[in-house]
Amino acid sequence: MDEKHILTRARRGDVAAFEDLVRLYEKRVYAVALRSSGNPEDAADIVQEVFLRAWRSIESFRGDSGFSTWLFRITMNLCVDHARHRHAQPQTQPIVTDDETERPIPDTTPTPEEHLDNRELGRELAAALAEVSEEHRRIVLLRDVSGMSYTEIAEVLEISEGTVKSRLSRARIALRKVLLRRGNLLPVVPSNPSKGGGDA
Amino acid sequence: MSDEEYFEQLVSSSLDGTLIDSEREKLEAHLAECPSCAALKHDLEQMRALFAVEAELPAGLHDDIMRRVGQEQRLHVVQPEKPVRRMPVLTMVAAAAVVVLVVLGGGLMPAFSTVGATTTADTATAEAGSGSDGAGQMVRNAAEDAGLTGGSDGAAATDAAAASETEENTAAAGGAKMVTPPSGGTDGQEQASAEGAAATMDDGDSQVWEGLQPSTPVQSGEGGQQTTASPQATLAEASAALTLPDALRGWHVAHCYLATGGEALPDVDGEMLYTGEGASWFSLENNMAILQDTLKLLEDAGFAVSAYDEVGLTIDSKADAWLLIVQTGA
Repeated sequence: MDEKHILTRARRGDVAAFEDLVRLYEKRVYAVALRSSGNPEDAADIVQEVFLRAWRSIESFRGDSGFSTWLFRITMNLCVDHARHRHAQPQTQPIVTDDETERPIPDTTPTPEEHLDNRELGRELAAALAEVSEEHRRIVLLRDVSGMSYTEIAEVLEISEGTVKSRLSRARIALRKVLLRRGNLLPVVPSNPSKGGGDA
Repeated sequence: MSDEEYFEQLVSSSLDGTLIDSEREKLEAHLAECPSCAALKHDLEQMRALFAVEAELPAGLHDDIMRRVGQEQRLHVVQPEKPVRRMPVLTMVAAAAVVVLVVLGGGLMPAFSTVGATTTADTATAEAGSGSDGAGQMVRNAAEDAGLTGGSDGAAATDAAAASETEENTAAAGGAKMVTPPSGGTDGQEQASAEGAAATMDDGDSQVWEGLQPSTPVQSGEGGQQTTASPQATLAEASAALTLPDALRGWHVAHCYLATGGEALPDVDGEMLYTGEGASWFSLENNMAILQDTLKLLEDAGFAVSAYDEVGLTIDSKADAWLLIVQTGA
């Protein structure tokens, strides 16, 4: 069944149809919430709240924009609210889990791939995102985390596609600056001068 | 846009595969001779890899979402009158009341005192009258809607029809009497109009209680007999003994839950605001974990818990606190 039909049923209060919508989007919403909040617990809270709000107001969803546009607007607002709230609270020490006790931050950063499962990386990325403007944070989350197209982003943020393109560029550059300062990006390895003597 | 910005934007767009051929060629030529842009491309590609992690949904999250939705579903069941809240009648009645306030209270409200009293009085009377008629019709419509949306719950339609009488009385009385909102002040009155607050009339002393929030107020409980607008019946239906404590008026809360049927009051992680008539009112921090833990605590203690959003308070999910009412024993 296509999304339009599912949506129609959900708007009539059909929980099973709404659950189908949840299944369609929960993973992407969670990914955005995870990157934004930096930890799985807060991300789970945000995701629940996103769908709860969607359910509460789905009756009044008129379908002028797509459901995903509407849902990601809610997601963005909640992520930003959460970040503001967190920012307003005193920072707590990160929880040190058993497998990472007392480990000093290594000078040689592992590759991004090695980082992927690292909970610490999640915190780092969220912290870096928190340092850029709200406008930049939103657009990076929508494009680089949720994977939305320029057209979809333009709808969510209610800006033109041209603005999406230029804002995204500025946002990525701003974020890069923060990540470089925090030591989260690997330096460019010069490729022309033979590195380490090559075959020798 | 400078050349630098132009190429930065091309680098960024190249990540998204949105360059046209001519742009791609231009960028490639530029990258060969600009180490700065080449480094930018390298870093942005790394960034994209870092952020675009395929996150697995935590086990149980889907079920948690649906459990919360299920709790909300109960709210729909216990609230057949919900559509009434959206009826413009409330706005119209409040607007009519405000117009009357402007006219009759003009001397007390400097902000409006420049309006010509005679002219405005005529206009206001006309508007109040039409507001009253319109309100009656709107509420009759609301009654039909409530009947429809409430499914088999014919009582909803009856309640809404009863509210029609109330609202008409309110508007009519407003046209004839001086009306005094409890908090006074021009801002409050404007807000009442803008937010579509309901005005209800206490027959006892002919005062109109102006709710300044989108939700309708629960009666104060001060007088003996009171006329109640339809949405107020929601919580009252669940428990006729419940009366919103005066201290809570005007509060914004994230949620309102009513727990009933348990024997003993459990150890609730919040501030007790008021207790009396078998009910305890708590303010709890608006925090998902606290909400979930508290609901579980109550259910474990044998309470049935339902959410309400028509309790005379503004329901605002961003509010700092949520309200819990626990009714124990008899």
